[in-house]
Amino acid sequence: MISLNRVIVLGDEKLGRGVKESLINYGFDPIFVEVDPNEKSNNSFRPLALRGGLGDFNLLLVGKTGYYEEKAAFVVICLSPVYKNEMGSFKGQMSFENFLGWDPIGVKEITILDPSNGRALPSVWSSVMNKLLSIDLTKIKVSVVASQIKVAGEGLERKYRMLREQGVIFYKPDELTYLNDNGIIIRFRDHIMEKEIELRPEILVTLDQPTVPYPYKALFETMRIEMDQYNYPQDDNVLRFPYYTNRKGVFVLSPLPEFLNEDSVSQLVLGLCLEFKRLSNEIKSNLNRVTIEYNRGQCAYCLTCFRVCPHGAILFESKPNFLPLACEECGICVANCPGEALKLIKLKYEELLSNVKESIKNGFSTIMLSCQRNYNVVSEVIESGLDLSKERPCVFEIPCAGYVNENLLLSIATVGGLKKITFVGCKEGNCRTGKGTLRGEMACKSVKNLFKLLGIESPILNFYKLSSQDFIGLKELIREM
Amino acid sequence: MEAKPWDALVLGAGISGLEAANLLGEMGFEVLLVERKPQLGGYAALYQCKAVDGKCVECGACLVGDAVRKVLSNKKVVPMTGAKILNCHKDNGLFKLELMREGEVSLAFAKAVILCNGFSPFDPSTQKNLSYGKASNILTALEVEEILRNNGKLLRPETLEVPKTICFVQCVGSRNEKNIYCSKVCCGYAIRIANLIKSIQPDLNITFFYMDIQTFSRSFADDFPKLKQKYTFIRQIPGELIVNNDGSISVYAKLDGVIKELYYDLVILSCGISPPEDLDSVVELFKVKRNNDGFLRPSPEGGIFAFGTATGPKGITDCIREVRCGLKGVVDYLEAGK
Repeated sequence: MISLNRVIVLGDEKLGRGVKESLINYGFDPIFVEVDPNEKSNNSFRPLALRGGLGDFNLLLVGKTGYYEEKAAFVVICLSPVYKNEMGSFKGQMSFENFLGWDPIGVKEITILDPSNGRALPSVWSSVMNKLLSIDLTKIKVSVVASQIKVAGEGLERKYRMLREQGVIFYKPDELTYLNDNGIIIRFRDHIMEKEIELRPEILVTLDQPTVPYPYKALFETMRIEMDQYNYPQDDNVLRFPYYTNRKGVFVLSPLPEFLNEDSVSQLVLGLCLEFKRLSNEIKSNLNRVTIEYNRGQCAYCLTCFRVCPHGAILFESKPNFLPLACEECGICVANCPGEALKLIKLKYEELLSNVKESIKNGFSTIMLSCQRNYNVVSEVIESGLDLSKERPCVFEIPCAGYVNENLLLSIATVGGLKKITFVGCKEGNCRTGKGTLRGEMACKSVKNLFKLLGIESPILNFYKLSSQDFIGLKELIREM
Repeated sequence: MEAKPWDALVLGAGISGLEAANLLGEMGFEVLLVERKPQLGGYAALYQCKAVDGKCVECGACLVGDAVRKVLSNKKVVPMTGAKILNCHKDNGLFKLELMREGEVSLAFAKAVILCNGFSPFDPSTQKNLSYGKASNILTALEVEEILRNNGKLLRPETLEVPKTICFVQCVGSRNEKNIYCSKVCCGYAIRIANLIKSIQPDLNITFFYMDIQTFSRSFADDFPKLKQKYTFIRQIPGELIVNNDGSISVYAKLDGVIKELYYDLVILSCGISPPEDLDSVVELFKVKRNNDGFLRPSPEGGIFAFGTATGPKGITDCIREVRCGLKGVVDYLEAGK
């Protein structure tokens, strides 16, 4: 067992080392692994795989001098985003990052431009506005061109106001064109003055966009960390906020779409320390837990379970190893196993099936299968919202909508005596297993289609995507009951 | 007789208070969660999930429902609703608090106090030009939530007609002479609620009167051009909302250099986040300080902490982030005192 204070900080020189130092100050035992996607640094490593799970990670690395292996209880990613200038370079153009550390001696005119249709982050605006306020604006004429000025940050509206009072002109064009004519020319229509404006800035500061470069993407893929559409190592899921990834025990401080400055990173480090502590308690109490029952005789060694596990909780060596600490007991591996080699100990298929049969014996003709996250919500709503004249459904809690596969749903639907099966999962994008709700929906659709194709009469089968505050959706559910 | 002291007393059971109480409880601390209202959840619990076509839009509303259920099953957290704090003294490192509940006064002792007393929505009736309160078809977004919750769609409140044209007026009570701050969440909130309404009532024409649209999601830059095709965006804040005899609302706006009168069946005011109405009493009771914008200073010292919208405007997920990161200070404080 590795010390629960051991943390791998996987990052670049700029962010990673600082995070390592602060973790030491908070009493942890971090190791800094420098990753340089451009492979320029001599001390950098390339991760080959991140095996194991929460409490027992095993990071395989290759460096200039050979292969290495690092073990730790937790992993933290802190890689700086790369700022990309979408316009190309022009004479007099500089990125805002350079602008922040620049001394405008002898300059008469500066133009600040957000070329990205209002995408620049409030944190970028904050640092640029601070810089502008530190410049003697009586000597330099400053124009700002941005379709949206971001003031959703503390004190930003005040700074925006001060800049306007000091003579900075803010243009907010909906569209603009620019061309390179020995320096940049920007043209747009100003809707307040109702006229076409042409600017030929001496110095053009562009509010560049943070991006996740391709080598990072490859790195996250190697480590089996799910990404969002912009390759941020945190899939677009409200439950992952602020620093969780799909792999329990792997955290991301940067790159995150919302963050930029070092302050926010050090804030997140505080949160992480607390999270490590909380998870350490969980690890200690779950050490001997077994979550999945494995039947070697039925296993086809097809690696499906390894591939589908959203939490990276399965390690496939000569056989699948189920890592109890990383396992969220969602049962997605069970649902996808083609050989029926797996059983979720918390709720076995046969147990669920016999519970359904029992409920039919007890006179229920409608049942509801609800994912763990919605179970209490739908139970409460049915209790209070369904009028007494209607027949109540028997509600079953399942770990995740993705736990129910076609086979199970077919077995339930063909038990006999059921009029209606209502299946409830989460909204797409706040399911705790990521894609579980979509898998459940698919299973429901397939089974429905199968009955339709075969022309067999079946119970009415409906899939609902609900959430605890979805008053409209819950009302709809009650109406359909 | 002295009762056993709580590790922490959390004031306010909105999303920040719930999150703080839950996390502390999970870490083994005993928490008393004091809420003024009869139910848990605060304003955040009134928000409808804004998912469209079953796709989450990260409004965070469900996190509030989840947090309420978690608190109710957390054995270390004792919620106390309908209660108010009358008095607070710090004596020998322990806070002695006088609580009033259903007319009865009781005493509680706590090692730390966490202020999560939230916000008050800006009251639009203080701005005469908005005619709020004079016409039934000028609503705040919270009132729209209620209509949606009760009817499943947007209707005009008195006549129960389906509106054909509606508009959102942004920055009500934010970014003005009095409140020199952006409330941060209203842009995203208004657009999410517009998307939800539009998905239920696709024929509805929706206009936004705005200053600057603030980023509200990861895909803002990709989504915003699409939104501009779906809705009308007018970069002006109406000077006055005029109530017509037929119940419709007129707004004058300068479009392409010409002043035009625009009619709307319903006007929705995106009211900003103001410091809580009773913040003065909290400031006095706990001897904490306000910042320039009138909210609490984020990290008061000596065992008193403040999180969430009490320290400045922020959305549900940002509140959660602030609590998760800031609680480290609380835990360190409590452990140092052991």
